[in-house]
Amino acid sequence: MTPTDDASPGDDYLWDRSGAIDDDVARLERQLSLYRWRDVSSVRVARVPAPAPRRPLRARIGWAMAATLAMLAVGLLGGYERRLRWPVDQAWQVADVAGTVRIDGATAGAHASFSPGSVLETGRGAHARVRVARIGELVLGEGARLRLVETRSGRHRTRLEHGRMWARIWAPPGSFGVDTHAGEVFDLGCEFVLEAGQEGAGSLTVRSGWVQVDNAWREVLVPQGARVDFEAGGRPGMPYDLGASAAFLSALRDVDARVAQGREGDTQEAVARLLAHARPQDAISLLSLVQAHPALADGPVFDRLSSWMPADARVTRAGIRAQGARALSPWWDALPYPRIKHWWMQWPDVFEARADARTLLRETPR
Amino acid sequence: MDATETLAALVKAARTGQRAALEALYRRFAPVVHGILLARLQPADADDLTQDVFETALARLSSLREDAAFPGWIASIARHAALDAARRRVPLTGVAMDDLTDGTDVEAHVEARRAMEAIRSLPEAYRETLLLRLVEGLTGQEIAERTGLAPGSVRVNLHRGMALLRAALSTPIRGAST
Repeated sequence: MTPTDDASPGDDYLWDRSGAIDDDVARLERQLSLYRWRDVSSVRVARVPAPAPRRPLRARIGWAMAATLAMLAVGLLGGYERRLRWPVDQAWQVADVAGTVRIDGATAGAHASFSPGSVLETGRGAHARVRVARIGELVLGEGARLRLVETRSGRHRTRLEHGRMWARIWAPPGSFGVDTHAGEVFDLGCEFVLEAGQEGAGSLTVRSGWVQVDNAWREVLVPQGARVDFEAGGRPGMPYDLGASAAFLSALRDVDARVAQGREGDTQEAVARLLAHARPQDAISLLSLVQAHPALADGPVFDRLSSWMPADARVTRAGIRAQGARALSPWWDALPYPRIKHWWMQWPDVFEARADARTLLRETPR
Repeated sequence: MDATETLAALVKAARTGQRAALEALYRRFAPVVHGILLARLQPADADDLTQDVFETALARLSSLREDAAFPGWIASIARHAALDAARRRVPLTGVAMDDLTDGTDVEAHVEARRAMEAIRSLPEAYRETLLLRLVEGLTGQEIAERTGLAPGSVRVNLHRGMALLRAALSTPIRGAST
Protein backbone atom coordinates (compact mmCIF):
# COMPACT_ATOMS: atom_id res chain seq x y z
CA MET A 1 0.00 0.00 0.00
CA THR A 2 1.29 3.37 -0.97
CA PRO A 3 0.21 6.58 0.72
CA THR A 4 -1.51 9.14 -1.48
CA ASP A 5 -2.00 12.81 -0.79
CA ASP A 6 -5.73 13.02 -1.29
CA ALA A 7 -8.45 11.66 0.89
CA SER A 8 -10.84 9.56 -1.17
CA PRO A 9 -14.51 8.58 -0.80
CA GLY A 10 -13.22 5.14 0.19
CA ASP A 11 -12.04 6.75 3.42
CA ASP A 12 -15.60 7.28 4.69
CA TYR A 13 -15.31 4.44 7.13
CA LEU A 14 -11.97 5.76 8.35
CA TRP A 15 -13.55 9.21 8.70
CA ASP A 16 -16.74 8.39 10.59
CA ARG A 17 -17.50 4.69 10.20
CA SER A 18 -19.97 5.36 7.43
CA GLY A 19 -19.87 3.65 4.03
CA ALA A 20 -18.36 0.27 3.38
CA ILE A 21 -16.42 -1.24 6.25
CA ASP A 22 -12.69 -1.03 5.81
CA ASP A 23 -11.44 -4.35 7.19
CA ASP A 24 -8.00 -3.04 8.13
CA VAL A 25 -9.46 -0.14 10.02
CA ALA A 26 -12.09 -2.25 11.74
CA ARG A 27 -9.47 -4.81 12.82
CA LEU A 28 -7.19 -2.10 14.17
CA GLU A 29 -10.11 -0.55 16.07
CA ARG A 30 -10.78 -3.88 17.73
CA GLN A 31 -7.16 -4.58 18.56
CA LEU A 32 -6.31 -1.12 19.82
CA SER A 33 -9.44 -0.75 21.93
CA LEU A 34 -7.33 -2.41 24.61
CA TYR A 35 -5.62 0.93 25.13
CA ARG A 36 -8.74 3.10 25.05
CA TRP A 37 -9.35 5.55 27.85
CA ARG A 38 -11.77 3.86 30.20
CA ASP A 39 -11.50 5.88 33.34
CA VAL A 40 -15.02 6.48 34.60
CA SER A 41 -14.06 8.31 37.73
CA SER A 42 -14.94 11.93 38.23
CA VAL A 43 -12.56 14.65 37.36
CA ARG A 44 -10.16 15.58 40.13
CA VAL A 45 -10.05 19.26 40.69
CA ALA A 46 -7.65 20.26 43.42
CA ARG A 47 -9.15 23.71 43.52
CA VAL A 48 -12.23 24.87 41.73
CA PRO A 49 -10.91 27.58 39.44
CA ALA A 50 -11.84 31.04 40.53
CA PRO A 51 -13.95 32.99 38.11
CA ALA A 52 -11.76 34.46 35.44
CA PRO A 53 -10.16 37.69 36.55
CA ARG A 54 -11.04 39.26 33.22
CA ARG A 55 -12.98 42.41 33.62
CA PRO A 56 -16.38 42.59 32.02
CA LEU A 57 -16.44 44.24 28.61
CA ARG A 58 -18.23 47.31 29.96
CA ALA A 59 -15.59 47.77 32.65
CA ARG A 60 -12.81 47.36 30.11
CA ILE A 61 -14.45 49.95 27.86
CA GLY A 62 -14.79 52.21 30.88
CA TRP A 63 -11.13 51.87 31.74
CA ALA A 64 -10.13 52.46 28.12
CA MET A 65 -12.26 55.60 28.02
CA ALA A 66 -10.86 56.80 31.33
CA ALA A 67 -7.32 56.25 30.06
CA THR A 68 -8.12 58.09 26.86
CA LEU A 69 -9.68 60.98 28.76
CA ALA A 70 -6.70 61.12 31.11
CA MET A 71 -4.32 61.32 28.15
CA LEU A 72 -6.54 63.94 26.57
CA ALA A 73 -6.57 65.94 29.80
CA VAL A 74 -2.79 65.77 30.06
CA GLY A 75 -2.50 66.89 26.43
CA LEU A 76 -4.98 69.73 26.95
CA LEU A 77 -3.23 70.87 30.11
CA GLY A 78 0.11 70.89 28.31
CA GLY A 79 -1.42 72.81 25.42
CA TYR A 80 -3.05 75.27 27.81
CA GLU A 81 0.18 75.98 29.68
CA ARG A 82 2.04 76.43 26.42
CA ARG A 83 -0.70 78.77 25.20
CA LEU A 84 -0.25 81.10 28.15
CA ARG A 85 3.55 81.00 28.35
CA TRP A 86 5.33 83.90 26.63
CA PRO A 87 8.86 85.24 27.23
CA VAL A 88 9.15 88.81 28.50
CA ASP A 89 9.15 91.35 25.66
CA GLN A 90 9.06 88.73 22.95
CA ALA A 91 7.61 90.13 19.74
CA TRP A 92 4.22 89.15 18.36
CA GLN A 93 3.90 87.93 14.82
CA VAL A 94 2.02 89.62 12.02
CA ALA A 95 -0.08 86.94 10.33
CA ASP A 96 -1.42 88.80 7.33
CA VAL A 97 -1.53 92.29 5.85
CA ALA A 98 -3.51 93.98 3.08
CA GLY A 99 -2.72 97.43 1.74
CA THR A 100 -0.12 99.71 3.26
CA VAL A 101 0.95 98.54 6.69
CA ARG A 102 3.94 99.99 8.50
CA ILE A 103 5.78 99.09 11.67
CA ASP A 104 7.81 101.98 13.05
CA GLY A 105 7.49 103.66 9.67
CA ALA A 106 8.85 100.75 7.65
CA THR A 107 6.64 98.75 5.35
CA ALA A 108 5.62 95.50 7.02
CA GLY A 109 4.54 92.34 5.28
CA ALA A 110 2.99 89.14 6.48
CA HIS A 111 5.10 87.35 9.12
CA ALA A 112 6.76 90.59 10.25
CA SER A 113 7.63 90.85 13.92
CA PHE A 114 5.79 93.33 16.09
CA SER A 115 7.94 94.10 19.12
CA PRO A 116 7.12 95.93 22.36
CA GLY A 117 7.65 99.66 21.85
CA SER A 118 6.85 99.44 18.14
CA VAL A 119 3.92 101.14 16.44
CA LEU A 120 1.80 99.42 13.81
CA GLU A 121 -0.04 101.69 11.40
CA THR A 122 -2.48 100.87 8.65
CA GLY A 123 -3.14 103.06 5.63
CA ARG A 124 -6.37 103.81 3.83
CA GLY A 125 -8.18 100.58 2.92
CA ALA A 126 -5.50 98.54 4.66
CA HIS A 127 -5.66 96.11 7.54
CA ALA A 128 -3.28 93.90 9.50
CA ARG A 129 -3.88 90.62 11.25
CA VAL A 130 -1.65 89.98 14.25
CA ARG A 131 -1.22 86.97 16.54
CA VAL A 132 -1.56 88.02 20.18
CA ALA A 133 1.28 85.85 21.52
CA ARG A 134 -0.40 82.44 21.62
CA ILE A 135 -3.57 83.57 23.40
CA GLY A 136 -5.51 84.98 20.47
CA GLU A 137 -5.44 87.33 17.54
CA LEU A 138 -6.40 90.85 16.56
CA VAL A 139 -7.22 92.64 13.35
CA LEU A 140 -6.43 96.31 12.94
CA GLY A 141 -8.67 98.14 10.51
CA GLU A 142 -7.77 100.95 8.11
CA GLY A 143 -6.29 104.19 9.32
CA ALA A 144 -5.43 102.77 12.71
CA ARG A 145 -2.42 103.17 14.95
CA LEU A 146 -1.53 100.57 17.57
CA ARG A 147 1.44 100.56 19.92
CA LEU A 148 2.60 97.34 21.53
CA VAL A 149 3.43 98.27 25.11
CA GLU A 150 4.29 95.06 26.92
CA THR A 151 4.36 91.32 26.36
CA ARG A 152 4.90 88.53 28.87
CA SER A 153 3.07 85.53 30.25
CA GLY A 154 -0.32 86.61 31.58
CA ARG A 155 0.12 90.27 30.59
CA HIS A 156 -0.05 91.67 27.08
CA ARG A 157 -0.72 95.39 26.78
CA THR A 158 -1.31 97.65 23.79
CA ARG A 159 -2.42 101.20 23.18
CA LEU A 160 -4.87 101.95 20.40
CA GLU A 161 -4.23 105.59 19.49
CA HIS A 162 -7.06 105.60 17.01
CA GLY A 163 -8.90 103.32 14.62
CA ARG A 164 -10.92 100.16 14.80
CA MET A 165 -9.67 96.89 16.22
CA TRP A 166 -11.19 93.44 16.48
CA ALA A 167 -9.72 90.98 18.98
CA ARG A 168 -10.46 87.46 20.07
CA ILE A 169 -8.71 86.19 23.17
CA TRP A 170 -8.95 82.89 25.02
CA ALA A 171 -7.00 83.29 28.23
CA PRO A 172 -7.65 84.10 31.90
CA PRO A 173 -9.28 87.53 32.50
CA GLY A 174 -6.92 90.46 32.20
CA SER A 175 -4.35 88.72 30.04
CA PHE A 176 -4.92 91.21 27.23
CA GLY A 177 -5.46 94.92 27.62
CA VAL A 178 -5.88 97.90 25.31
CA ASP A 179 -5.29 101.44 26.49
CA THR A 180 -7.26 104.16 24.70
CA HIS A 181 -8.03 107.82 25.22
CA ALA A 182 -11.25 106.63 26.82
CA GLY A 183 -9.54 104.41 29.35
CA GLU A 184 -8.28 100.86 29.57
CA VAL A 185 -10.12 97.94 28.06
CA PHE A 186 -9.43 94.51 29.54
CA ASP A 187 -10.55 91.27 28.04
CA LEU A 188 -12.29 88.90 30.40
CA GLY A 189 -12.14 85.97 27.98
CA CYS A 190 -13.86 87.31 24.92
CA GLU A 191 -14.21 88.62 21.39
CA PHE A 192 -14.82 92.32 20.86
CA VAL A 193 -14.57 95.25 18.47
CA LEU A 194 -13.10 98.49 19.79
CA GLU A 195 -13.41 101.82 18.01
CA ALA A 196 -11.19 104.57 19.37
CA GLY A 197 -11.16 108.21 18.31
CA GLN A 198 -8.28 110.58 18.96
CA GLU A 199 -10.51 112.71 21.19
CA GLY A 200 -11.65 109.77 23.27
CA ALA A 201 -14.98 109.14 21.55
CA GLY A 202 -15.62 105.61 20.42
CA SER A 203 -17.41 102.41 21.26
CA LEU A 204 -16.83 98.87 22.43
CA THR A 205 -18.98 96.01 21.15
CA VAL A 206 -18.62 92.62 22.78
CA ARG A 207 -19.34 89.49 20.74
CA SER A 208 -18.50 86.84 23.31
CA GLY A 209 -17.63 86.75 27.00
CA TRP A 210 -17.14 89.98 28.94
CA VAL A 211 -14.96 93.05 28.61
CA GLN A 212 -14.13 95.47 31.37
CA VAL A 213 -13.53 99.19 30.83
CA ASP A 214 -11.68 101.20 33.47
CA ASN A 215 -11.21 104.93 33.38
CA ALA A 216 -11.32 107.95 35.60
CA TRP A 217 -15.10 107.99 35.63
CA ARG A 218 -16.13 104.45 36.33
CA GLU A 219 -15.64 100.78 35.76
CA VAL A 220 -18.00 99.32 33.19
CA LEU A 221 -18.63 95.64 32.53
CA VAL A 222 -19.89 94.87 29.05
CA PRO A 223 -21.27 91.39 28.31
CA GLN A 224 -21.61 89.66 24.98
CA GLY A 225 -24.27 91.10 22.73
CA ALA A 226 -23.88 94.54 24.34
CA ARG A 227 -22.11 97.80 23.59
CA VAL A 228 -20.84 100.81 25.44
CA ASP A 229 -20.22 104.21 23.81
CA PHE A 230 -17.60 106.72 24.87
CA GLU A 231 -18.23 110.43 24.68
CA ALA A 232 -15.60 112.81 23.42
CA GLY A 233 -13.19 113.09 26.32
CA GLY A 234 -13.55 109.40 27.03
CA ARG A 235 -16.43 109.31 29.47
CA PRO A 236 -18.11 105.91 29.06
CA GLY A 237 -21.85 105.66 28.92
CA MET A 238 -23.95 102.75 30.21
CA PRO A 239 -23.65 99.39 28.46
CA TYR A 240 -26.71 98.43 26.49
CA ASP A 241 -28.08 95.41 24.72
CA LEU A 242 -27.71 95.68 20.94
CA GLY A 243 -31.46 95.17 20.62
CA ALA A 244 -32.33 98.15 22.81
CA SER A 245 -34.65 100.74 21.25
CA ALA A 246 -33.52 104.26 20.42
CA ALA A 247 -36.04 105.65 22.93
CA PHE A 248 -34.60 103.47 25.67
CA LEU A 249 -31.05 104.57 24.82
CA SER A 250 -32.06 108.22 24.77
CA ALA A 251 -33.67 107.88 28.21
CA LEU A 252 -30.65 105.92 29.49
CA ARG A 253 -28.27 108.71 28.50
CA ASP A 254 -30.54 111.33 30.04
CA VAL A 255 -30.78 109.56 33.37
CA ASP A 256 -27.04 108.91 33.48
CA ALA A 257 -26.20 112.50 32.56
CA ARG A 258 -28.62 114.07 35.03
CA VAL A 259 -27.41 111.97 37.94
CA ALA A 260 -23.80 112.64 36.95
CA GLN A 261 -24.58 116.36 37.03
CA GLY A 262 -26.01 116.05 40.52
CA ARG A 263 -29.59 116.46 39.32
CA GLU A 264 -30.97 113.30 41.00
CA GLY A 265 -34.20 115.10 41.75
CA ASP A 266 -34.69 115.80 38.10
CA THR A 267 -34.69 112.23 36.85
CA GLN A 268 -38.30 111.17 37.34
CA GLU A 269 -39.43 111.90 33.83
CA ALA A 270 -36.36 110.33 32.24
CA VAL A 271 -36.64 107.27 34.50
CA ALA A 272 -40.29 106.92 33.53
CA ARG A 273 -39.34 106.98 29.85
CA LEU A 274 -36.53 104.55 30.52
CA LEU A 275 -38.79 102.00 32.16
CA ALA A 276 -41.50 102.49 29.58
CA HIS A 277 -39.15 101.23 26.91
CA ALA A 278 -37.19 98.72 28.95
CA ARG A 279 -37.19 95.03 28.09
CA PRO A 280 -35.83 92.21 30.28
CA GLN A 281 -32.80 92.13 27.95
CA ASP A 282 -32.07 95.68 29.11
CA ALA A 283 -31.36 94.52 32.64
CA ILE A 284 -27.64 95.02 32.02
CA SER A 285 -28.28 98.74 31.49
CA LEU A 286 -30.52 99.21 34.54
CA LEU A 287 -28.17 97.23 36.74
CA SER A 288 -25.14 99.21 35.51
CA LEU A 289 -27.10 102.39 36.19
CA VAL A 290 -27.81 101.38 39.78
CA GLN A 291 -24.22 100.18 40.14
CA ALA A 292 -22.96 103.63 39.12
CA HIS A 293 -25.68 105.55 40.99
CA PRO A 294 -26.90 103.48 43.98
CA ALA A 295 -29.31 106.28 44.91
CA LEU A 296 -31.49 105.21 41.98
CA ALA A 297 -32.29 102.03 43.93
CA ASP A 298 -34.74 104.08 45.99
CA GLY A 299 -36.92 104.57 42.94
CA PRO A 300 -38.77 102.39 40.43
CA VAL A 301 -35.60 101.17 38.68
CA PHE A 302 -35.03 98.85 41.64
CA ASP A 303 -38.59 97.52 41.45
CA ARG A 304 -38.24 96.77 37.73
CA LEU A 305 -34.98 94.94 38.25
CA SER A 306 -36.51 92.99 41.15
CA SER A 307 -39.35 91.86 38.91
CA TRP A 308 -36.90 90.50 36.33
CA MET A 309 -34.43 88.81 38.63
CA PRO A 310 -34.91 85.30 39.98
CA ALA A 311 -36.36 85.05 43.48
CA ASP A 312 -33.21 83.51 44.91
CA ALA A 313 -31.08 86.46 43.77
CA ARG A 314 -31.94 88.49 46.86
CA VAL A 315 -31.02 92.16 46.77
CA THR A 316 -32.69 94.64 49.10
CA ARG A 317 -32.83 98.42 49.21
CA ALA A 318 -31.60 98.25 52.77
CA GLY A 319 -28.63 96.21 51.61
CA ILE A 320 -27.76 98.75 48.92
CA ARG A 321 -28.06 101.61 51.39
CA ALA A 322 -25.77 99.80 53.80
CA GLN A 323 -23.21 98.32 51.39
CA GLY A 324 -23.62 100.38 48.24
CA ALA A 325 -23.05 98.70 44.88
CA ARG A 326 -21.49 95.60 46.52
CA ALA A 327 -24.97 94.51 47.55
CA LEU A 328 -25.86 94.04 43.88
CA SER A 329 -23.67 90.98 43.39
CA PRO A 330 -26.56 88.45 43.41
CA TRP A 331 -28.15 90.31 40.50
CA TRP A 332 -24.91 90.42 38.55
CA ASP A 333 -24.58 86.68 39.03
CA ALA A 334 -28.16 86.19 37.87
CA LEU A 335 -27.75 87.98 34.55
CA PRO A 336 -28.16 85.63 31.58
CA TYR A 337 -24.56 85.84 30.36
CA PRO A 338 -21.56 83.55 30.74
CA ARG A 339 -19.97 83.86 34.17
CA ILE A 340 -16.67 85.74 34.12
CA LYS A 341 -15.17 83.04 36.33
CA HIS A 342 -16.11 80.55 33.64
CA TRP A 343 -14.24 82.41 30.90
CA TRP A 344 -12.81 79.12 29.65
CA MET A 345 -16.32 78.09 28.66
CA GLN A 346 -15.88 80.37 25.64
CA TRP A 347 -13.70 77.62 24.20
CA PRO A 348 -14.69 78.30 20.58
CA ASP A 349 -12.54 81.43 20.95
CA VAL A 350 -9.52 79.12 21.01
CA PHE A 351 -9.72 78.76 17.27
CA GLU A 352 -8.63 81.31 14.73
CA ALA A 353 -11.47 83.23 13.13
CA ARG A 354 -12.15 82.10 9.60
CA ALA A 355 -13.94 85.23 8.53
CA ASP A 356 -12.03 87.86 6.57
CA ALA A 357 -10.81 91.05 8.21
CA ARG A 358 -13.62 93.24 6.85
CA THR A 359 -16.27 90.92 8.25
CA LEU A 360 -14.60 90.80 11.65
CA LEU A 361 -14.32 94.59 11.83
CA ARG A 362 -17.84 95.24 10.62
CA GLU A 363 -20.05 97.25 12.93
CA THR A 364 -22.56 94.96 14.63
CA PRO A 365 -25.96 96.45 13.77
CA ARG A 366 -28.33 97.36 16.56
CA MET B 1 -26.52 26.46 19.08
CA ASP B 2 -23.55 24.84 17.26
CA ALA B 3 -20.83 22.71 18.83
CA THR B 4 -18.50 25.69 19.26
CA GLU B 5 -21.14 27.72 21.08
CA THR B 6 -22.03 24.74 23.29
CA LEU B 7 -18.39 24.21 24.16
CA ALA B 8 -17.88 27.90 24.86
CA ALA B 9 -20.89 27.85 27.20
CA LEU B 10 -19.49 24.81 28.94
CA VAL B 11 -16.10 26.41 29.45
CA LYS B 12 -17.75 29.60 30.67
CA ALA B 13 -19.70 27.61 33.25
CA ALA B 14 -16.56 25.70 34.24
CA ARG B 15 -14.80 28.99 34.90
CA THR B 16 -17.33 29.66 37.63
CA GLY B 17 -16.56 26.28 39.16
CA GLN B 18 -19.79 24.54 38.18
CA ARG B 19 -19.18 20.88 38.88
CA ALA B 20 -21.45 19.63 36.09
CA ALA B 21 -19.58 21.68 33.51
CA LEU B 22 -16.22 20.45 34.77
CA GLU B 23 -17.41 16.84 34.54
CA ALA B 24 -18.78 17.38 31.04
CA LEU B 25 -15.48 18.85 29.87
CA TYR B 26 -13.64 15.95 31.43
CA ARG B 27 -15.84 13.33 29.77
CA ARG B 28 -15.54 15.02 26.41
CA PHE B 29 -11.81 15.78 26.42
CA ALA B 30 -10.27 12.98 28.52
CA PRO B 31 -10.05 10.68 25.45
CA VAL B 32 -8.33 13.46 23.50
CA VAL B 33 -5.80 14.08 26.26
CA HIS B 34 -5.28 10.34 26.65
CA GLY B 35 -4.75 9.88 22.90
CA ILE B 36 -2.20 12.68 22.75
CA LEU B 37 -0.32 11.22 25.72
CA LEU B 38 -0.49 7.76 24.21
CA ALA B 39 1.27 9.05 21.10
CA ARG B 40 4.35 9.76 23.23
CA LEU B 41 4.16 7.66 26.39
CA GLN B 42 3.60 4.11 27.53
CA PRO B 43 -0.13 3.29 27.91
CA ALA B 44 0.05 2.97 31.67
CA ASP B 45 1.78 6.32 31.98
CA ALA B 46 -0.76 7.90 29.64
CA ASP B 47 -3.56 6.56 31.85
CA ASP B 48 -1.98 8.04 34.97
CA LEU B 49 -1.15 11.38 33.41
CA THR B 50 -4.58 12.05 31.88
CA GLN B 51 -6.10 13.03 35.22
CA ASP B 52 -3.07 15.16 36.07
CA VAL B 53 -3.35 17.07 32.82
CA PHE B 54 -6.98 17.85 33.55
CA GLU B 55 -6.25 18.91 37.07
CA THR B 56 -3.57 21.28 35.82
CA ALA B 57 -5.71 22.63 32.99
CA LEU B 58 -8.78 23.30 35.09
CA ALA B 59 -6.70 25.03 37.74
CA ARG B 60 -5.32 27.29 35.01
CA LEU B 61 -8.64 27.87 33.30
CA SER B 62 -8.59 31.57 34.16
CA SER B 63 -5.57 32.02 31.88
CA LEU B 64 -7.56 30.83 28.86
CA ARG B 65 -8.46 33.96 26.89
CA GLU B 66 -11.20 32.66 24.63
CA ASP B 67 -13.63 29.99 25.76
CA ALA B 68 -13.89 28.59 22.24
CA ALA B 69 -10.12 28.02 22.13
CA PHE B 70 -10.33 25.35 24.85
CA PRO B 71 -9.68 22.34 22.53
CA GLY B 72 -6.38 23.61 21.14
CA TRP B 73 -5.41 24.87 24.58
CA ILE B 74 -5.89 21.59 26.43
CA ALA B 75 -4.26 19.65 23.58
CA SER B 76 -1.23 21.87 23.95
CA ILE B 77 -1.12 21.28 27.71
CA ALA B 78 -1.30 17.51 27.10
CA ARG B 79 1.59 17.65 24.62
CA HIS B 80 3.75 19.59 27.06
CA ALA B 81 2.90 17.18 29.86
CA ALA B 82 3.87 14.25 27.62
CA LEU B 83 7.17 15.89 26.77
CA ASP B 84 7.92 16.53 30.45
CA ALA B 85 7.12 12.93 31.30
CA ALA B 86 9.16 11.58 28.38
CA ARG B 87 12.19 13.58 29.54
CA ARG B 88 12.09 11.69 32.80
CA ARG B 89 12.70 8.54 30.70
CA VAL B 90 11.74 6.13 33.49
CA PRO B 91 8.08 5.13 33.11
CA LEU B 92 6.00 6.88 35.73
CA THR B 93 4.47 3.65 36.96
CA GLY B 94 7.18 1.23 35.91
CA VAL B 95 4.51 -0.77 34.11
CA ALA B 96 5.56 -1.80 30.60
CA MET B 97 3.25 -2.67 27.73
CA ASP B 98 3.97 -6.38 28.19
CA ASP B 99 2.46 -6.25 31.63
CA LEU B 100 -0.98 -5.33 30.32
CA THR B 101 -3.27 -8.21 31.02
CA ASP B 102 -6.98 -7.90 31.41
CA GLY B 103 -8.14 -11.33 30.37
CA THR B 104 -7.83 -10.90 26.65
CA ASP B 105 -5.85 -13.54 24.82
CA VAL B 106 -2.15 -13.24 24.34
CA GLU B 107 -2.38 -13.15 20.52
CA ALA B 108 -4.67 -10.14 20.66
CA HIS B 109 -2.21 -8.42 22.96
CA VAL B 110 0.64 -9.14 20.62
CA GLU B 111 -1.29 -7.80 17.64
CA ALA B 112 -2.34 -4.73 19.59
CA ARG B 113 1.19 -4.09 20.69
CA ARG B 114 2.46 -4.46 17.13
CA ALA B 115 -0.15 -2.03 15.82
CA MET B 116 0.68 0.43 18.57
CA GLU B 117 4.38 0.22 17.84
CA ALA B 118 3.67 0.79 14.16
CA ILE B 119 1.56 3.88 14.89
CA ARG B 120 4.18 5.29 17.26
CA SER B 121 6.74 4.98 14.47
CA LEU B 122 4.71 7.33 12.25
CA PRO B 123 5.25 11.09 12.00
CA GLU B 124 3.70 12.93 14.95
CA ALA B 125 0.80 14.51 13.07
CA TYR B 126 -0.41 11.15 11.79
CA ARG B 127 0.34 9.40 15.08
CA GLU B 128 -1.94 11.59 17.18
CA THR B 129 -4.79 11.60 14.70
CA LEU B 130 -4.72 7.84 14.16
CA LEU B 131 -4.62 7.11 17.88
CA LEU B 132 -7.63 9.34 18.47
CA ARG B 133 -9.48 7.56 15.70
CA LEU B 134 -8.39 3.93 16.19
CA VAL B 135 -7.79 3.83 19.94
CA GLU B 136 -10.15 6.41 21.36
CA GLY B 137 -12.83 5.72 18.77
CA LEU B 138 -13.47 9.36 17.83
CA THR B 139 -14.74 10.21 14.36
CA GLY B 140 -12.81 12.58 12.13
CA GLN B 141 -15.27 15.38 12.90
CA GLU B 142 -14.95 14.80 16.66
CA ILE B 143 -11.16 14.85 16.39
CA ALA B 144 -11.33 18.19 14.59
CA GLU B 145 -13.72 19.67 17.17
CA ARG B 146 -11.76 18.44 20.17
CA THR B 147 -8.23 19.29 19.06
CA GLY B 148 -8.85 22.57 17.30
CA LEU B 149 -7.56 21.19 13.99
CA ALA B 150 -9.37 21.92 10.72
CA PRO B 151 -11.54 19.01 9.54
CA GLY B 152 -9.65 19.00 6.24
CA SER B 153 -6.33 18.57 8.05
CA VAL B 154 -7.72 15.75 10.13
CA ARG B 155 -9.05 14.02 7.02
CA VAL B 156 -5.70 14.26 5.26
CA ASN B 157 -3.80 13.12 8.37
CA LEU B 158 -6.09 10.11 8.72
CA HIS B 159 -5.78 9.21 5.07
CA ARG B 160 -2.03 9.54 4.85
CA GLY B 161 -1.41 8.07 8.30
CA MET B 162 -3.59 5.06 7.57
CA ALA B 163 -1.78 4.46 4.28
CA LEU B 164 1.58 4.56 6.07
CA LEU B 165 0.24 2.31 8.80
CA ARG B 166 -1.01 -0.25 6.32
CA ALA B 167 2.44 -0.22 4.70
CA ALA B 168 4.17 -0.60 8.06
CA LEU B 169 1.95 -3.48 9.14
CA SER B 170 2.40 -5.32 5.85
CA THR B 171 6.14 -5.53 6.56
CA PRO B 172 7.11 -8.67 8.58
CA ILE B 173 8.30 -7.96 12.08
CA ARG B 174 12.05 -8.13 12.23
CA GLY B 175 13.13 -11.41 13.80
CA ALA B 176 9.67 -13.02 13.64
CA SER B 177 9.25 -16.44 12.01
CA THR B 178 7.21 -16.51 8.77
